[in-house]
Amino acid sequence: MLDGYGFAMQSYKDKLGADNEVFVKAETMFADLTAIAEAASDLNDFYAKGMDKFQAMSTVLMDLAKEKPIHAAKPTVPSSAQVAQPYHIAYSSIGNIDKSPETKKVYERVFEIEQSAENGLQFMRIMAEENLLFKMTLVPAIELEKSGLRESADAISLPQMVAYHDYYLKDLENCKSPAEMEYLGNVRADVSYFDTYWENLLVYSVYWNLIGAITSYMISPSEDTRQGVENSYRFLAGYFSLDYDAMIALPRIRDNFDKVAWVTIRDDWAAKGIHSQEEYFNIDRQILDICMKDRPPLVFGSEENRKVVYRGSTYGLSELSANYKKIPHPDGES
Amino acid sequence: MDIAQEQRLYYEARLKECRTRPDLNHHQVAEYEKVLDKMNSSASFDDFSLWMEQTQAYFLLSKAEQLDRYSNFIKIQQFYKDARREEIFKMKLEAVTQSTDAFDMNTKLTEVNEKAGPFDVAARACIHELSNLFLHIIAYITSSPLKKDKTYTQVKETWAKLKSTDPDISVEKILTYPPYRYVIIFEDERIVKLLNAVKEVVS
Repeated sequence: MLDGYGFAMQSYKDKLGADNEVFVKAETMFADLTAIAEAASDLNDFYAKGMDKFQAMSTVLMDLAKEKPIHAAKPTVPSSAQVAQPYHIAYSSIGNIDKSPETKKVYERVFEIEQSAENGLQFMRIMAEENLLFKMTLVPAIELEKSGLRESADAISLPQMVAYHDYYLKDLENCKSPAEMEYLGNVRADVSYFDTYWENLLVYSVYWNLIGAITSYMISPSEDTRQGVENSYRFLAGYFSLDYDAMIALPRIRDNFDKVAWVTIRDDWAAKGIHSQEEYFNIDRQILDICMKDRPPLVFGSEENRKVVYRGSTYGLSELSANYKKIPHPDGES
Repeated sequence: MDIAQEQRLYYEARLKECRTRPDLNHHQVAEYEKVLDKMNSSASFDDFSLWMEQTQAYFLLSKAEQLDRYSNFIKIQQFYKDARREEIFKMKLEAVTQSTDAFDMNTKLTEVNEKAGPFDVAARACIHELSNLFLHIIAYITSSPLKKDKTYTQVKETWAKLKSTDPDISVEKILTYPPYRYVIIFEDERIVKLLNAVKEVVS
């Protein structure tokens, strides 16, 4: 992208002279963009940080096109090759991994029009009529969403990300303008940002807190660590009205255990003769029995405590799975 | 080739695209309509081209795109009732609204981005710290005797960080500010019970 701007800047410098007022402004903007590019960690970071400036840069280039050249020359309509040059640069800058079949088709069509168009104006008109300016952004985004991101999120028990990818792919497949794409992307990203914290608090308070206490006791059995297990177990009973068996039977918790905890610890436990999740749960149960021996019985909270609140709606803990929640959306619930 | 016709078809195509979601593109729809109306009423293409230059129409089209963009971001934040982020996008919308040419728009957006940056960071950081607060309260409530002091300190430190990112933080605000509720899994009763466990910190 910067090469494209750089090419244009050089052309205008030759045409208008380095001291042309609009050229000096454009040069400042180009320097800003270059600084952002140099500071950016990757292409996405560059797009995010430079987003506000791309349009301004394009506009100032249009202003430059209207400036009077220093050498008297007959105004000419740019050739399609000149106008298409940034798209060649953009295509060559897309990593091979993103050049999937549909993205290739879009660019092949762009370059086909470049060959057949009489000049740059006709090239841009056909590009606009065939929505290719938009498709160059949309199609790679759809292909990226289909490249396994959802499956990767599911593999590590991130239901909020699974939901994000499901909904965002549906949004992309239906959206028809860059503004809509950006708007829908922001809605989904915003929801997902909050949901990540929501899921983290859920899994920690229902599961990881108690498992952490049990693990501390396993590593270093003492009255102190026993008290930690008792406190965590009483919290689970009081705040969620669950005992260990009811907790581990929750689909959301079992999913997290299988995909996060078990894959991490199974080799260590296999060396100790524990080969299945059920056998491992029995160890947890034995430790809970030891830690709660001769202690007052658990006090369970009300049945209502087996529910959680998500954006004003209440859900039973046993209902929770990837796309379980009604997400309020500015265009209607999804 | 008819240059006028090529330009007309180009603007019509862009207008058609914008009309697929007029609610998200309404500034652009208005500008493209204005340009096409002028094209139709001009005596010649040269007259139209002169009008485009004199009225900064190219700049106004790109300004309309930015106005739509920030209006849409505001719409999202209003819907989710995130007042702090809404304010940040309003600052950006105002910068675009006041801009008089492309360079001015770039300058004003750069200035406002620098000014809004810390607000944006704080608006996100307070969500992070609020989530941490609940994690630390649960850790404190359930910790073993030897870890009580450490977990209590973590609650106090997190509350201080939360207060630094949201000076208005209070039990009442935690219960009523929508973005805070988006990250808390509990209803009012359990929230109050958890906060009461550290009431000397949060009061």
